[in-house]
Amino acid sequence: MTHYKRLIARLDCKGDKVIKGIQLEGLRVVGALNDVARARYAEGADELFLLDAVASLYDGSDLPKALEELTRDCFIPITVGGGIRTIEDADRLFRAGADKVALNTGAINNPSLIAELAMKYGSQAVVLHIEAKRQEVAGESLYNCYVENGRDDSGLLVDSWVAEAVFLGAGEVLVTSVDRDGTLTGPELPLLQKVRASVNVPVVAGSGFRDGADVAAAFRDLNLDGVAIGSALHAKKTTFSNIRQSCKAESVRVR
Amino acid sequence: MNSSDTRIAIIDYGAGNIQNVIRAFSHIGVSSGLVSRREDLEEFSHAVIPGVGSYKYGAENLRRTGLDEGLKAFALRGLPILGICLGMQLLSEDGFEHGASKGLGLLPGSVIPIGEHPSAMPEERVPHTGWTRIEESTFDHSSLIQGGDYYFSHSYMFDASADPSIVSATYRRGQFSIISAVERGNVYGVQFHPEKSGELGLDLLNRFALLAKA
Repeated sequence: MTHYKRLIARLDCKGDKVIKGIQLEGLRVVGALNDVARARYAEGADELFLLDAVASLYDGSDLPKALEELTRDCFIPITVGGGIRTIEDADRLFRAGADKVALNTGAINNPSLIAELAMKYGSQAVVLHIEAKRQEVAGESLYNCYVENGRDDSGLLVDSWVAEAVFLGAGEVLVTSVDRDGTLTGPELPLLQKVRASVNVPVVAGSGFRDGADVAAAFRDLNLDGVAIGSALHAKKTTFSNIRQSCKAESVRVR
Repeated sequence: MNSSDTRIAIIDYGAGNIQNVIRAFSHIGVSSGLVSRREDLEEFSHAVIPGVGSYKYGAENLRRTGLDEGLKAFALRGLPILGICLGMQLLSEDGFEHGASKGLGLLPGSVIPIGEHPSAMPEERVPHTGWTRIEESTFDHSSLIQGGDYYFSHSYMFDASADPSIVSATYRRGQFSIISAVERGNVYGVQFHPEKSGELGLDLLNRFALLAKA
């Protein structure tokens, strides 16, 4: 099989700056969006995931302008999310250079938006982004879907929501763990297992990865399709080069 | 062909992301322009049909704008045409996404869901998304395609059983081959996104721009 696992660079943004929080709280500036994105491209990222971390609070996004600038000389796929509530929001991002749009709050508030976008742009261009928080109930880990960048519990359980979203037309699921995000404590494996078991579309894990060993293990054990690495790269704990080496050592196919 | 005569028409038929194709050509120093009306095709030496979205929607838009007839005339003049992703699929005779639709018919073949191909296995993901190694076909040597890793994102695929000689590259999926590129005469199609495949993709766009009139 000549299909490679996907190594995606995750950039959480506020305006034109890349920021990083811990468990989706707190903002430490990593650098200018264009600088960080170009660096990741040069470092060997397969794709970029840009998440506008404050868009859902202000009902709009600064990203289109930054995206236009970035895509002048960055020629890998870019997924953009954060505050997409309408088809027009998505249209603007696609015109600016996005290849895929990621929906979280917008999709939970209006699930038919998924179907509309899939009809217009194709399922492969519509990513369901979930931000899941663990809740221990009678010794079992349940995961609740959060909206507004990890602030509010939507009342939806991950398992059923991802299945519904994919049925509506989402072509991919990207999983953020509110508990693990930015903590560099490794991925939330039970959450990823649940999502993997619930859908048949590509699943990308987006939180907690520390190094190549974490990544290789997630691919090897959970049959995920991609990982989105943020903090580990921002904090220079690892590089795409190291991650590729670790994967190849575990017979995980990467570019 | 004199490079100052080269101007690539990027067909704008409302099928999603076209800016990246324009930016890619701009990056490699090749002149291009958006074309949304049939009559504007006159000024161009090459045409690229980009595309993200559904076959039905794309085909309807090409018909509604008259670009379908415009592209057929362009092809008859021997000018190079490159279809990318949905654009490649629309070169076919018909497609079966959201019902049956007629394509441009510039190449023999149909477009079917990946899930209906014999290679479909439960553990294989659809859409097929990600970088993938392609192999050049053992048929004639292509002037456009070079083996290597390119970025794909598709749920539908080209079925060339009507005329397999048009296949110029494939990728492996289990024991099966999925069409990655097709060509015949001056009409070319790639299932992957050269504008999203880093340097190798830009090289392909450059080779396309250097193709002379057939």
